[in-house]
Amino acid sequence: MDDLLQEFIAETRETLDSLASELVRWEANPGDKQRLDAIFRFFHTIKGSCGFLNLPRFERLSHAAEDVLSALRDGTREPSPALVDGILAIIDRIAELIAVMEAGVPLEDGSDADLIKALSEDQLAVHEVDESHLSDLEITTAADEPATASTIMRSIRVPLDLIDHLMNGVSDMVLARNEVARCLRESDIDPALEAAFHRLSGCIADMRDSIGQTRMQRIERIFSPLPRLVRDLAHELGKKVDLSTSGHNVELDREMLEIIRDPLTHIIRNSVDHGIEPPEDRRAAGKPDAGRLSVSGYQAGNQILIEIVDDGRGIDIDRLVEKAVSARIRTRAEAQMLSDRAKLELIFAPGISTASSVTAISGRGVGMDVVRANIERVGGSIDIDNRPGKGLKIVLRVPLTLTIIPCLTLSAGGQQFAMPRSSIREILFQNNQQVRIEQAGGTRIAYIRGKSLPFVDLEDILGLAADEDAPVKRTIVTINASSDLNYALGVEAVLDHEELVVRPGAPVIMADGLYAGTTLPDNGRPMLLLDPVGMAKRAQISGTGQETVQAETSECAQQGQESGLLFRDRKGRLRAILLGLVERVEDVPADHFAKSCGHFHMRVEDGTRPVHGLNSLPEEDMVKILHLFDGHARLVHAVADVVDIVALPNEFEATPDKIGIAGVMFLGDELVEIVDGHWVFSAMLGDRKTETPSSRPLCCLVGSGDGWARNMLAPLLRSSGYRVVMADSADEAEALDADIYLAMDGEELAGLADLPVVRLGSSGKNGTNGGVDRYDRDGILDALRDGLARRQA
Amino acid sequence: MKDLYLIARIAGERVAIAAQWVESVVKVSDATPIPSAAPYIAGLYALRSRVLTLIDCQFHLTGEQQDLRVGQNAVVVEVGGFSYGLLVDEVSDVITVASQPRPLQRKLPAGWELIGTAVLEDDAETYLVIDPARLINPALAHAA
Repeated sequence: MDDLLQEFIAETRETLDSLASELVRWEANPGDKQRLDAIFRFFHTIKGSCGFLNLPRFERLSHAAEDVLSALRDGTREPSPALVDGILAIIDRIAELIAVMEAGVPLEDGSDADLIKALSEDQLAVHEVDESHLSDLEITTAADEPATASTIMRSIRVPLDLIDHLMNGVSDMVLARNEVARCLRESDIDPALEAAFHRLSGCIADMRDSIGQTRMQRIERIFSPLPRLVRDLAHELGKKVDLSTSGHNVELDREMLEIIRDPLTHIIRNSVDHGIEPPEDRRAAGKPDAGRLSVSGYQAGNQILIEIVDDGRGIDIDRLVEKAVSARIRTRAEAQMLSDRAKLELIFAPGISTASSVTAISGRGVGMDVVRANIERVGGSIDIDNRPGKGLKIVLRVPLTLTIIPCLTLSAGGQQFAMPRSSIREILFQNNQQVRIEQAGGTRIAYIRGKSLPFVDLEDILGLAADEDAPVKRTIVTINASSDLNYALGVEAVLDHEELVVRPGAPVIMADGLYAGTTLPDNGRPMLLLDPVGMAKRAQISGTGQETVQAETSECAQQGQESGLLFRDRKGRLRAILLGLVERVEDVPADHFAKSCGHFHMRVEDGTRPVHGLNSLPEEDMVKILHLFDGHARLVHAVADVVDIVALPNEFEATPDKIGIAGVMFLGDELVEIVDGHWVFSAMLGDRKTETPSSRPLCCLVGSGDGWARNMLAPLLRSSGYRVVMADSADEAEALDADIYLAMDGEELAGLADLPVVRLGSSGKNGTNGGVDRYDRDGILDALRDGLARRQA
Repeated sequence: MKDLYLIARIAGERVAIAAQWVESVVKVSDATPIPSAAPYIAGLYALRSRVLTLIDCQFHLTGEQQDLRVGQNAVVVEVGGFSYGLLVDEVSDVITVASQPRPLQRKLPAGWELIGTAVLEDDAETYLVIDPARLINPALAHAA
C-alpha cells in the first residue's frame, strides 16, 4: 500500500507542473479539444486512484474539476478566465495536499468546499452530474489510455541514491583501471592480455558516460511551470504577455537545474512586473498590446545558455543611478564617473530596485544581487543587454554540470589547493616591475599597473607556515571573487590548469567558509577547493566597489613607458606585444581553426578572423590566442603561452632586417623580441581592411572573355591592391571609366587611345607588339604602376 | 544487529561503537591536512573515489593533536551523507552483547562526556558506548 501511495505521489507531482501549462495554453485556444481531453484525463486518473487509495479530499477535488471540464467538453459551459482560475486553484490545492502527504503527515479531512463552490458559482445550469453519463466517460477515457501509453518513452523510476551510488562505483572502477594500467606498463605483458584490458577499459569509459547521462535532465522541467507563472502575474498586474519557450530538450545536470530555477523565476517576475508595460503604455509607444517574453535554452560547448528576452521598457539607466545614489550605494560624484556599462552593473548592487513602486511580485527584497550570486556560485555568469524603451535581454550561462569545474592548482605552505578559474583574473610574478607591494597600517596593498588592490598571502589566510624549501620568487594571483570584490593573493606558485570533479566537503570543513569543496585529482591525494569569497572574509577584505585607480600617475605613464604582454609564440620564442593591442586572451578549441589559401582563419561568433602565428593546424585540443584590436580591425594571434605583463623600454634596439619584429630587449638574461604591431595587421589584413576599397585603383581587363584573364590575372591584380573589372571589348571597357586598362594580346584598342593602357603579349613574344610578357609578374605590375603614374601626372 | 559492537581503543581506553554505524575499517596514511579547520579534524584521505574526512578521536579526550601514524586504523562511518574516518589507536574486536547498554550513572570527566552515551557490559568487560556523530561534531552533545 505504501509503495502504491509513493508512486501516486510521485506521478501526480510530475504531471501537475505540465498540466498547469496545458491549461493555460488551452485557455488561449479553447477550441483545442485534445488539450482539454488531456486535462480531463489527468483529473480522471487522480480520481480513480484516490478512490482506490482512500483519499476522499483528492476525490472530491478532482471530481469537481472533472465535472466542469466535462461540461466544457460538451459545450454546456463556456471557458472563462474565472473558470480557469478555479481549475488552477484546484491544481494548487492538490499540489499542497501532495506535499503534505510526501512529508508523511496524515491528511486532515478538511473541506475544499470553497474551491468547489467557486467552480459552480457562475454556472447557470444545475450542477448535478448524471451518473450514467459519467460512467460513459470513464469507459471512453479508459479506452483512450492504452493508445497514449504506447507512444510514451519507456522509463522507470530510480531513487537518486542509487544513481549516486552507481556513479561512485564507476569512479572507483576508473581509478582501479588506472592502477591496473600502471601495473601493466611496468611489466612485460602478453599482447592478448593487453588487448583484453583495452576492451575492458573502453567498456568502463562508455559506462561512465552513460551513468553521467542519468544525472542529466531536460530543461523542460523548469520551463513547464513558466506559462502558469506568467499568466498569473500578467492577470494580477492587468498586463498582457505572450510567453514563448524553446529549447525544452536541452539537458543539464539535475543539481544545476535546481540552482537556476529560482534565478530564472526571479528574472521572469521582474520582466513581467517591471519590464513589460501596461497595454495603454505599450500602445502609446507603438508596440502591440501584448508584451512578448521569450525564454530559450541552448547548449554552447560545455555551457548552457538561457536567454530571457522581453520587449518591455528596458532599464532606465538614469533612474537606476538615482536609486543607487539615494540608497547610498554610490555617491553622486562616483556615479557620474561610471561608464554606461558600469551604471548598468548597478542593477546587481545589493539593495537596489528599479521599480517605481514596490509590488508584491518582485519587490520582496530579493534582488538581482542574489540572482547573480547564485549563478556565480556554480561558476556561471549573467549578462544584460539593455535597449532602453525597446526591451531587455538577459543571458544566463551555467556550466553543463555542477561537479566539473575548471580550476587552477596552486601551492602555498608546501600544500596544493585548487581555485575556480572563473574567479582568477591575472597571474603575475612578484618580481615583475609592474607590481609593487606596500605596507600600510598593518595591511598590505598591491599596486599593479597603477591600480591598487588589497594584498594577502594565502599562507596567512590559512594559518600555514611558509614552506622554507619553496622558491623565493612568488606568484601573485589577482582575484575577482564577486562583482565588486577584488584582491591580490600571494602564493608559492601556480602549478597547473585542470578540470576537476568537485564534491562538497563534510559540514565540519565547509563550515569554515574557506573551502568550496573537495576534489580528487589523478594523483589520488584529496585536494581542497578554495572559496574566493570566504577567503576575502577571513582576510577581512570587503569590496570597496572599484579598484582604486591612481590617476594616471603610474610609473609607466610618468616615464612615457608602454606595457607589453609577454608571451611565448608557438615556436617557443619569447616575444612581447603592445598591451594596448590585446583585447583579451582566450583558450579556443582547435576545431575553430581552418586553413585556406595558405592563410589560417578562426571561427568567431560573427564570422571569421585571420590568424597570425600558426604554421600548421593545431594538434592540441585547445589553443591559446590573443585577440588583437588596433581600433579598426581585429585579428587573432595564436601563442603557446602567455607569460607576464612587462614594461616596454622607450628605446630598444631596432632590428630592421627582421620582418615583423620592431626590436629586441633583454628581460633578465632572456632576449625578448618586440612584435611590430603594424606589420602584423598589415600582413594579415593588408589592403583588405586597413584602407577603404574605393581608394584602390580600378583596373579594367580588356578581352576577359579569355578565361586566363579571369582565372589567372584577376587574382594577381586583386592581391596586389587593384580592384578588377572585366570587359569583353574596347567599347565596353571605355564605358567603365577605370583608372587603368590591361589589354590581352590582340585586342582591338581603338576606343582607348587616350587612356592609359598596358598591353600584354603572349608568352615569350615580348617584342611582337610591344606588350608585356604575360608571365612576367613584376613586369605586369611595373607597367601598371607606370601607367597609373603617367595618368596622375 | 543492534547488539553487535565494534571495540576500539581511543586514548588508551576501550570503547564500543554500535555496528550499524560502521561501514568498514581501513588503514590510512598520508592525509591531506585542512588548514585552519577545527583541531580534531586530521585531514582528508581518499578511499578509492571517496574522500574521507579523518577525525582525530583522541583529541576530544586529551586536547592534544596527534600525528597520523602510517597504517593507522580508521573506522569508516557515514553521517549525514558524508563519509568520515574515525582514527583510533587500534580495533580489537567485534562482539555480540546480549544485554542492553545501560544509561550513564554519573557524569563523565570532560572529553568523555562529549562523546560517551551509555555503558555496555559484556561478561567481565565494561565498555563506554560512543556516538560517532558526536565525535564528528561535538556541539551535538550540548544540544542533546
